[in-house]
Amino acid sequence: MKQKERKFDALIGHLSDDLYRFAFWLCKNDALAKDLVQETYLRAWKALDSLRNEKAAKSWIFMILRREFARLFERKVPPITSLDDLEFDIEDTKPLGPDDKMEIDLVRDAILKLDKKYSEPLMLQVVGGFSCDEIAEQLNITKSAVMTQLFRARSKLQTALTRESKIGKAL
Amino acid sequence: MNYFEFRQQLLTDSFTKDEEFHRLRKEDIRCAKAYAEAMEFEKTLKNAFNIKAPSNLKDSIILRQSTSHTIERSIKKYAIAATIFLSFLIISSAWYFKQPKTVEQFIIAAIKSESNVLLSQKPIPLNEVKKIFAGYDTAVGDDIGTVRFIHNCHTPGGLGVHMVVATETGLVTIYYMPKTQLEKKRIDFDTNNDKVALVTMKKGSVAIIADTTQQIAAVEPMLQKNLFFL
Repeated sequence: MKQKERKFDALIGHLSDDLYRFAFWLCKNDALAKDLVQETYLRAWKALDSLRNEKAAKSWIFMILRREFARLFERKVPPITSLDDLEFDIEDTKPLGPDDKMEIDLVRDAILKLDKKYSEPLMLQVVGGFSCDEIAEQLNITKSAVMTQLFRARSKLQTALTRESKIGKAL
Repeated sequence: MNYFEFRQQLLTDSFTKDEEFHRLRKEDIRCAKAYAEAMEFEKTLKNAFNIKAPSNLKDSIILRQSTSHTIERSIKKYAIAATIFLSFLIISSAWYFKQPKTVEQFIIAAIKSESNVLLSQKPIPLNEVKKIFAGYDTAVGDDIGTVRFIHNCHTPGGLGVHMVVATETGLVTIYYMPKTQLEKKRIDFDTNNDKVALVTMKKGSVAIIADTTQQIAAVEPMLQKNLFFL
């Protein structure tokens, strides 16, 4: 048991914060995200023996999280499309200036409005740090489809950021 | 790769290791400007996603895992206990339903299993015989005969004694059934090869199983004289 614990901790113990961030943006709710991460780790613990390639541990646990989300949490996600509706007060990791904070809030607001098919690959790339090939494998789609979705996701966010910034400037 | 494709790459994956992409980034002014803007955006994007994870997250994960282990262990314990209980219930029921319903059925079942009895080459010492009967508050006289086998056994109503006595004309099986009350004082019946006599005693009853009625006639008075009920 101790050996299993050590292996578990070494392979995926350090990923809890990234998993939480990913879970938060999937669930759009702090409590659900915490539950999802806990469930993910529990599943991973039970299935640790099935992990053949230890180098793929990160992909493996993100895959578990996505499956657990689809299995238990997706239907519980509150219908949030604006940052103002988020029940959890997002606390940033480092202090930011008011302009930076404004821009970040605009991007967050735009992320909440993104369709899942655009937001998920983007989250896997930015939060998970996965390559296009890895995202394609995770989502079971082609690499070119991933690239298209990433392109469109960023385009939408940039458009929203530019539009909102202009409105801000006009005011 | 042209400028349009460069911008496309920026929106797809600005951290690509593509050599052509990085060459353009360094050599083309428009590409360098677009890259700098993209990096600014990526920083904002990274910050937008980068929320602080709860400080107690790791503790709650460990707690959930250990709770789950405990619950699993408890479930396993209950499952094992339930399995043992059910097995016991099934075996007990099977044993109960297998038990002969009447003394006669018990005797027939006993005769069938009699071949499994391993007889002693030497007579069982009298004190051994007395010790076993003493367990049923019954004393044994000195003329109980040559006992070749004696053992506690299940009899209708409770435990009793299974004994095989050697007579001049062959072996005779005796069951002392202290908890078995017969409907009559004496019941005689035959099975395929054996003669059986069920005899009411002062305490319970005895079954005498022999090849012939003569053997029964020899053993029965011996038992009447040598079994004393305390």
